[in-house]
Amino acid sequence: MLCMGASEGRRSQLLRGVLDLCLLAVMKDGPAYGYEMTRRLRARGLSTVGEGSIYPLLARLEREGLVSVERSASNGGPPRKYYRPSAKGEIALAQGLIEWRATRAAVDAVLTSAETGVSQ
Amino acid sequence: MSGFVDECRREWKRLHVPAQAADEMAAELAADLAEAEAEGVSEAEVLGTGASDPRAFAASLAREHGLIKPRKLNRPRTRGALIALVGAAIALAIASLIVALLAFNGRSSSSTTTAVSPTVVLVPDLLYIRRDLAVRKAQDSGLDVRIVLRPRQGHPRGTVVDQRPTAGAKVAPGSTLSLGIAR
Repeated sequence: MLCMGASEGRRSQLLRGVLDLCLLAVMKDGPAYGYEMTRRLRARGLSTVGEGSIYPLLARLEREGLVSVERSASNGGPPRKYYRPSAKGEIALAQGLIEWRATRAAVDAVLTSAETGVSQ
Repeated sequence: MSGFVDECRREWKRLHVPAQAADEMAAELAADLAEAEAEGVSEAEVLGTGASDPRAFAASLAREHGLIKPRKLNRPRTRGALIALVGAAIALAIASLIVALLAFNGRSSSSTTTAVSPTVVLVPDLLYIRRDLAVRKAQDSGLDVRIVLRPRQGHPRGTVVDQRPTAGAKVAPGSTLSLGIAR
């Protein structure tokens, strides 16, 4: 890897545009509190986020009505705030997924054409 | 309780965040940080770069909860700049469309084709319909079609899951429309 700092910076920037979708996706697997989501993301290879944090994003999702929130006791621990996608959130997730795929495909097409010109 | 949460609380107090809301945010953070610590996971892993700047973190969290007003002073300026930027982008898009159309007209008038054809095609919305229907509609509109197979991801096999350009785009006749089809 040429420059670790730069590539991490790019990764976090790329992630910033889709982290809300990733959160909706992991909480779709089952209601989750904040750290539980961090754990699920990490289990799928997304070590969270050099940039910002999931908490302001969760707040935004809540304010926009994309998640429903429930407080319930975790086993033995203090009561936790569990998030899951609302109906509106499920729609936002599906739409976001389409946008992400279209963007990914277009960027892939551009970058792949550059790659074929590289002699390595 | 972690020093981080204490610093957040101080900032919320300074920003006049109601006590109950501050308590709730603090409880959520404290529980998550405690659990992470028990697993040997760093605060940075839980809080991202927010870990190094509790005041900024606290303010952004309160803002996203709608507990304090969005940054007051530079908001209108940012919005003005945004509008100017969008305006410039639209102007640029229109200009390039005109240039493209002129170029296209130039080409078609120099050719020997006599058929009267439209100078611009409105890309139809083909999402989620069957491939054969989509291809026919695209061709009827005067577009060439390129098929790209995509993973199904819950869509019915053989249906359009994405299209480039998107519906409503104005393109020259004979332009290529790329259709992503669920395999």
